[in-house]
Amino acid sequence: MKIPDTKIGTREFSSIVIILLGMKIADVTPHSIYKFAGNAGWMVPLIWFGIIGIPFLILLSLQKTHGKGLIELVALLLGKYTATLLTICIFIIIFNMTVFNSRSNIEIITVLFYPLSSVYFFYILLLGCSVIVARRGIVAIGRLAWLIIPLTQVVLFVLIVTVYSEVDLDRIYPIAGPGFLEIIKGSITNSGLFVDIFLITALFSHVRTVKNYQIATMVSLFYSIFILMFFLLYYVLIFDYPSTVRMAYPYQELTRIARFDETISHLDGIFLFFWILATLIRFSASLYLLSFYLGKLINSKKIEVLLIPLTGLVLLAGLLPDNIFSLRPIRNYELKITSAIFILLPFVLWIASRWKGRHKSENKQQTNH
Amino acid sequence: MSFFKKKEKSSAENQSKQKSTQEQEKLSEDILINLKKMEDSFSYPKNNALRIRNLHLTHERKSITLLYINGAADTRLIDRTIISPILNMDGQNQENTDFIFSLMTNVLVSSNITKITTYYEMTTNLLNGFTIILIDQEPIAIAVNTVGFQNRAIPEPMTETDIVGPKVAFIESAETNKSLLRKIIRNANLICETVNIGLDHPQEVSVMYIKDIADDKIVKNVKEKLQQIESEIILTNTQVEQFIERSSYSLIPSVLMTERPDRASSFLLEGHVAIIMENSPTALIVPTTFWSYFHTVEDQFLRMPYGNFIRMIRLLSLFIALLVPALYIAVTTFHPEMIPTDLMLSIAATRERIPFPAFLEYLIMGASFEILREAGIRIPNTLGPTIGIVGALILGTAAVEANIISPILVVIVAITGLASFTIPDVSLNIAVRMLQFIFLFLAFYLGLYGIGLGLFILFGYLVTYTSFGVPFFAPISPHFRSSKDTLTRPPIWKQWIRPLSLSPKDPYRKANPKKEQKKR
Repeated sequence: MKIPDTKIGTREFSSIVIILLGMKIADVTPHSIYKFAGNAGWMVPLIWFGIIGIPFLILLSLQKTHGKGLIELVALLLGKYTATLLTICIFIIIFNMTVFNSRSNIEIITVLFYPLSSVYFFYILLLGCSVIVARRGIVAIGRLAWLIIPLTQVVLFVLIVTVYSEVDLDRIYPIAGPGFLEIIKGSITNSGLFVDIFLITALFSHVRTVKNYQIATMVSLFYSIFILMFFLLYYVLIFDYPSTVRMAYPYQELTRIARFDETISHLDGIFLFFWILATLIRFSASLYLLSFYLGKLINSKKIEVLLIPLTGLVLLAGLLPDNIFSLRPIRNYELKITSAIFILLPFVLWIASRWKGRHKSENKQQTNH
Repeated sequence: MSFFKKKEKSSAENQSKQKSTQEQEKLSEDILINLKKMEDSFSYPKNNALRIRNLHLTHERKSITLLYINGAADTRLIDRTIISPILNMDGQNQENTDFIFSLMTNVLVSSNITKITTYYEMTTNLLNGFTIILIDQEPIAIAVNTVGFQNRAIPEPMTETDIVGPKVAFIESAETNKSLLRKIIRNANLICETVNIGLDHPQEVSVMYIKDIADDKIVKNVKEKLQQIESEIILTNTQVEQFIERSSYSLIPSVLMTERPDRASSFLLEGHVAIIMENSPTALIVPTTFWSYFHTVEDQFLRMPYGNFIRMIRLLSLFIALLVPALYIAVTTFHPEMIPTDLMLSIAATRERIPFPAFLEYLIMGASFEILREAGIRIPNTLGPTIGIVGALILGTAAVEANIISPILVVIVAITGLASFTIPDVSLNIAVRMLQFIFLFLAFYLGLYGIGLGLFILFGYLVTYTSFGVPFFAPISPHFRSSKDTLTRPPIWKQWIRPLSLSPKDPYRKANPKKEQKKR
């Protein structure tokens, strides 16, 4: 039995998705969530699980029955032009997402760790290293993610243990924060923060078997929801409500207070080390996805060739704003559109699939008569 | 480039055509012509290597000439197995039988006799230590095995030492090495195929594998790569390695060398291919993974907990050898707050009078250590102890007293050096020592962030690095079913799956023990 080199298995694929989604605990996502959900931010992933999970499951079952990736599925059910339109939309979404996230990472590095160095330098390094691995294909990203993910989980566990003494369970109250209705409303409009789970469905054909794909997506969905929920709760338990809203990067704040006993403190360098490994995989995957969608759009299979010019474009776009917070209003607006597209899309696809199925069976019946 | 390559290819083709016509030139019926041809090709009598011995059988009315190469053939063996039986046969031959047939069946006392019809075969057989019997009026010669090359006795392993395993190592004789392997694997399916490599003087390379385990594609790939070698002459296995490896410019090895027959046979039983060659006290193993460079035989020979313990120690050492200097530079240069205050103060106090930055300090000391190491290998054995004293005294104490380096740095260099000695494979050892300097530079310029970037690129490269189609970190990443004999190892009775990354024909060493238990 020979296993093809161009495809990835369950473990590799779920590692990519977990890193794409799980890394959100270490950037500005918690800040965005706390802004509308207050100290009940930990409920948001749970609500997402409902409002994103159901459409996502529909999409999965459609993918299984038709055996196709997201774009091919849309092309089959809604026609070629809709598929092209959607690909353009997704391309723009991923592009903005990559620019926003990478720029926010650069802010973390330059503001918190290397205040004297230039933004340009670190931006080039970050994207340069990511693109080197992304050029080796989804196989390299997947295998690397699977090598690193156990390590990152151990490190996160160590982080949880080292700061446990700061936890005050009473800080969870009031349990609903600003009120359930507010949270649900906010979760729906901001579900675009969790949209990566839909974007990776296009990589369907890169996974060895349908079963591997299904297991990987389900495992990674559950696990990343859990990780997000846990950390959103943990930040509140440690920093308490008003300060979590004012904190742009709670993960980095957490690593700053981590310590073993009195002698070994200031462990943030160690956490930076593992954080950068995960971050680089995240951007490799993002850049790969970006060029994957562009490849679909222009009907090119040479994804690796598109990577370098696209990375250059991301770099230029990321260097445009003075800082990440000037991008906030655009980002918020985009999130709303993204949320709407991806929550509705699976339902539309499902109806189209049923319609076509009925149409087909009617046709069959007619021919039978 | 492509043009030149084509040209080279066509010339090579011409050469091979010429060679094949040469190879097919048949022996003549006249013994004198045959003899003259051989004398010419060995420049007889200027070159005293070729020895000629004439015999005459009066009753048979036959002239016989024996040819052998001095040094390649064993003369006492020739006396005993060829000359005395032939002289004794005179007059005893029954009538009506073919002389050559009776010579081969009744007279010659040797287990390895072949008929020869061409000059080319005659030359190669002579060079390999065979004795050639030329007979008057016959266009056929007989080659008798009288090989008498000098070999040393089977030694103990020198580079892959251990405490409890067998104390046997390969020597420079391919025959002996093969017999050492056969002694361990007594299996009819252990195949030994020969491939001729080298243009001018073809040399035999033996490709060994177990037929019902090793993947046919891998075996075919290995043989093809061996046949593609275009070189005048290949001295040893190590040169073969450089011809068949994946990339000559990569820091990472893709072929494993081992001097232990037990290790080579354990690889064969997993479905790897071993390459054995004359004059090489090592066997080459392909395909390889990271684990083949990282494991030692003792991990399996010791009991499971002990084996795992030493494996963990080696893993720790690997990371120390690779990263500790870089971490020291990164922490002291960029993240000094990470060091406990007391230690920080003492480091600062010792470094107060040192003019160089920590990075330069390490370069000085690291380079000295590498020089010491190289000197330790090249120095004659009798001077060996001196180098240790000189190294320890001058480089350690004196450099600190002269305020060139700080004491803490001596500790760092010492622990790094010590850790690098635990990496069992020579190739990986040197690769790690070279990478250590790359990480040092990254740490000096970017601190821990730089080390993170470096590791990311390194591992990104390694996960797609393959040796004969097998990924470097298989069966961990990409994940395959295996016995989990990777970073740790399970008890020996649980290791019943061969690593599927090698696509073995028979993935199970024996029936699943769990299933057997259920049956009971």
